Amino acid sequence: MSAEFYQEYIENNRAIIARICRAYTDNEVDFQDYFQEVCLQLWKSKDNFRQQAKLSTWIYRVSLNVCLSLVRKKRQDPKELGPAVENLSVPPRPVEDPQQRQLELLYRQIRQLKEVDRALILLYLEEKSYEEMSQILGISVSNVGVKINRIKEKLKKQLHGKV
Amino acid sequence: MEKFDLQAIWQQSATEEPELPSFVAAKELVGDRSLNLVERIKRTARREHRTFLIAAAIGCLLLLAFQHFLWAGGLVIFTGLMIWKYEVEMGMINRIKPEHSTLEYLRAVSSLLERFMQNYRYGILIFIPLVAIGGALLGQYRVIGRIDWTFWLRPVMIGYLAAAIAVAILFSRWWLKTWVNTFYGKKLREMRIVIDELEAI
Repeated sequence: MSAEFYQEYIENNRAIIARICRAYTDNEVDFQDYFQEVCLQLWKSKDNFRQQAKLSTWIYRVSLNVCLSLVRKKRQDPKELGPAVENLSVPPRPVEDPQQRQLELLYRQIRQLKEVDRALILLYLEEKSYEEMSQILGISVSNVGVKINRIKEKLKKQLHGKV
Repeated sequence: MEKFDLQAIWQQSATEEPELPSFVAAKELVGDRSLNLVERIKRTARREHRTFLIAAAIGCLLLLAFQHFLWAGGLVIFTGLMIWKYEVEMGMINRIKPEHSTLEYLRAVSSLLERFMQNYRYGILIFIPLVAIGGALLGQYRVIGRIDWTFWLRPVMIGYLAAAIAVAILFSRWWLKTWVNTFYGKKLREMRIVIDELEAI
C-alpha cells in the first residue's frame, strides 16, 4: 500500500465517492464517516485492483459495498423525541440557487428510496450501462432497464410533488 | 429539457469534491474506529481471542499449581484448537473483499455475521456442559481418588448432565437474542433485505 496510490487513484475520484456517500447519508457527520471509510477501503483494496476492470467500475463497486455494510454510529433517534424535536434536529439547509435546490431535493428523494433502488438510480445517474450495473451489483442484466424506469418515474413523481 | 431531467440535475453534484482524509488519518482509521462491519467483527474476534488466551494461560498455571498436570494438558490442547480455529476464521474474513460484486460481497458479509453469532452459541453450548462434567469428574476424583464410571450411569448424574445441557441451550438462546442481536441483528436483517431485493431483480 502506498501514499502514491492513495493520492493518484482516490484523489482523482473523490467526487464519485462523495456522490455515493451523500446518497447514503443524511447529515454531514455521517457523510464524513462514510467518505473516510470508503477512501480507506479503496486504499486497502488497491492490491486487488489489477486493471482487469475499469477503475471507475471498481470505485463504484467498493464504494457501494462499503456504504451498504457500514454500521451507523448510535445517535439519539429524533423520532423518539417527538415531532417538535424531530423538526428541530434536521434544519433545512438554506439553498438560494434554484439548480442547487433541485439537486438537494433530488438527494433527499434518493435517500427515501430502498437501498437497492438507491444503488441502481445512482448508477443510472452516473451514466453506467446496464452491463456495468449488473457487474457492479451482481444482478442479472435482463430486468435492470424495467427496474430503472420504475425508479425514475417514482423519483420524478416525488420531485413534482415537492415543487 | 423536461422539468426534471434527473441526469441534468445530477451533473451539478459533479462539482462537489470534499477534502480527502490524509494518508496518515486513513491509516489510523484501519484498526481503530472503522465502521465497516467486517473490520468490526475482526476487531471483536481479535479482542475476544486475546482475552481467551490470557484466561487460558492463567487457568493453565492454576491447574499446574493446584491440580493434576493432565487438566493443564487438556486446557493446552483446547487452547491450541481455539488458536487454530481463530486463524482459520481470520483467513476466511480476510478473503471478503469489497471489490466483489455487491450481491457477492453482502452474501459473504452476512454469512460471516451469522457464523460469528453462531460461534457464541456453540461456545456456550460446549462450555457449560464441559464445566459441569469437568466439575463432577474432579469432585469424584478428589473424594474417592479415582473415576468410578458406574457412578456416571446413575439417574442423578444423567439428570445432572441433562440439566447442564438444558441450561446451556436456554442460556445460549437468551444470549444470542439479547446480546449479539443488539449489536449486529439489525444490520444482519438490513443486509438480508438488500440481498433478497438484489436476487429478485
